[in-house]
Amino acid sequence: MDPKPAFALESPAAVAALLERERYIPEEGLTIAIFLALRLGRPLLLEGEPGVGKTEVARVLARGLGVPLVRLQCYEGLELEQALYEWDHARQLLEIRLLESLGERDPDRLRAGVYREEFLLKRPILEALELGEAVLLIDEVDRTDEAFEAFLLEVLSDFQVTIPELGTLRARARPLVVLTSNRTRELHDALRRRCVYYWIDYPSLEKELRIVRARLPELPEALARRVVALVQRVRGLGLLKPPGVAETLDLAASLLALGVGDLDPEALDPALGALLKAREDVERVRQALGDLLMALG
Amino acid sequence: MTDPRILETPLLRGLLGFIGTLRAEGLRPGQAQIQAWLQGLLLVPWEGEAFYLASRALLVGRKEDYAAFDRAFRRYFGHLRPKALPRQAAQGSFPVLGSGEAEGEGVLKGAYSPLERLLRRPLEAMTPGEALLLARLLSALVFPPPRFAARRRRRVPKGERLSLPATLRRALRTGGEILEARFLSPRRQAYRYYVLLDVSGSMAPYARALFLLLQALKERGFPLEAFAFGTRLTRITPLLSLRPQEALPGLGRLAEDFAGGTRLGESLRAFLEGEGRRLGRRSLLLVLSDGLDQGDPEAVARALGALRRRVRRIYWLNPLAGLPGYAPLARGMRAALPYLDALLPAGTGEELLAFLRRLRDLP
Repeated sequence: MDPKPAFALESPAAVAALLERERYIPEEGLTIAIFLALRLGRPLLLEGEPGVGKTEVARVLARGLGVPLVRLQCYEGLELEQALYEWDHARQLLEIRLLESLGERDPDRLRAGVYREEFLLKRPILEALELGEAVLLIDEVDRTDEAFEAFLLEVLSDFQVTIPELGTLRARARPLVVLTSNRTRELHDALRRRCVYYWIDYPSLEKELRIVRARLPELPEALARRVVALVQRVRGLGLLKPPGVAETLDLAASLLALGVGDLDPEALDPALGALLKAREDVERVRQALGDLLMALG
Repeated sequence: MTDPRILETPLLRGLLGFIGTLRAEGLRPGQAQIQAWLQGLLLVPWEGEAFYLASRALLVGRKEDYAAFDRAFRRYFGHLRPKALPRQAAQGSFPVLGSGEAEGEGVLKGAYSPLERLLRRPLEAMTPGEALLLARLLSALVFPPPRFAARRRRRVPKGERLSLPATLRRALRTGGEILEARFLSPRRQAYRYYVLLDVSGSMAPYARALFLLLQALKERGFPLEAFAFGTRLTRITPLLSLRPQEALPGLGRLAEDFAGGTRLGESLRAFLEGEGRRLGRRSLLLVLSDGLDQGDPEAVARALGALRRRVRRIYWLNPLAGLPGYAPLARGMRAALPYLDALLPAGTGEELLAFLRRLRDLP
């Protein structure tokens, strides 16, 4: 039988409350997607531009639900062993020596002696399945290759893993699986179909302002509003790396640290590095800054 | 009380119709997705945008498909964001469209699936989004207009009674040789439906949902003439073929004109004078009203008495009639009672469904 979802929240409103307690300001669509993922026991696939807070969602959820966050950071060339499990060969060898020195000669018994769970190095996926009540974050899944994706598909549909020497390990309860993707590569449809999907957009001005206010309550509201308005305009410039929410927060924090009281080109210049991460972008914005600030009024 | 499972099956069909619309837009959700969608719909409240957002999260797997999904959703459910309706109402000033905040569910909460809850929810407590959804589901349930056997017969290639004249006439074509027999079979005709919708103040909370039901019937091809009445009678058939967001403000303006109240007798009289000659054995008269009348009850009785002789059936749908302990005490209602074939409740989706079944089973 399928393992049951590990979490039961009674309504999307309960999810929203949980997120807001952790000072995360969600869109209604995200709240509903999370709620459905939790209740239906389906993985949650989050896509969006870098810096909109995809990974943050998993972190906040783990904190809010009071369960461990198990993170699998994906990268090109990620192997199953790093995602699932490995045998601890060194300790197995030692154990064989030990058994032999105790006079054990029977090969079957030796094998049984070393292929035990205690010699298993559990990697994130196995760990999360075993915990059951956990949030499994599979971060930047677009960076893995297709073979790994196919494997993920299998794990995510059965929530069980077969280890030839030990047998099949089944999740006691379904962990909440959060996949994020920056779309460096198109994910396969089969994986998408398995998931509850949500595209996280850049937040609206009011929403981003709320985020900044929640994170940096000591920043004066008027300044916070101007900072957010500026960043929102900067996003429209078609930069190489448009700033995400994290960058807005960085900029706001830098201004606070620099003791800047109002936005003007001189005061802003030293803080631009917090907002922009490419030299060309810094140049573009520096040139446009006067006009941008003028437009803010 | 009907078995909720029976209710759900056709509702399911209504929902699944949306998948067809999605396919027409080039989206192909998988079976597992559709299943998850149906399960998901039972979990989220159908208020505001939740229904839309949940559907999108479960049926769409990439951002690029959001636009196509939105188009399909708008086409099938009438609105992308039912939440946007009240703003429109502010311009159209339809009292029914108010804030829709009234929460009448209390005891029902959590007791049923949202599908059943929607059906059992009092119409007056529905948010505009829910009313639309209900109408959409009802319209998926509505069968083609039922037909009854008329007295006249028509000639058909195969039937129960041989038509000698037709057979011989056919034989002339082949030089008098009878190669093909012709038969007679009863002509089947659809009823004509005449609907009088009360849009006076006391009916305002229901008029919206009832109007959407009429639209559903019309869309399904029911030959239907609709009139709104309060202090006067106005033909609203043209409004029925508009989209809800265009039609409802129009209805709202009518309702405003009628703010004076209900004059049942005069409205029935006006209907009789205007349409009386067109009525006949094929006609069904449906009155949608709570029967609260400021006019003369005697006039109601007279008009209905005359109508009674001209139509096949008179049904009175009263949103209050399903309430426990309801008795037809309102003056207009009491005066009308002797002339009705049935007084039917119409206060919830379930009651409207029961009414639809009655229409279908009409002899």
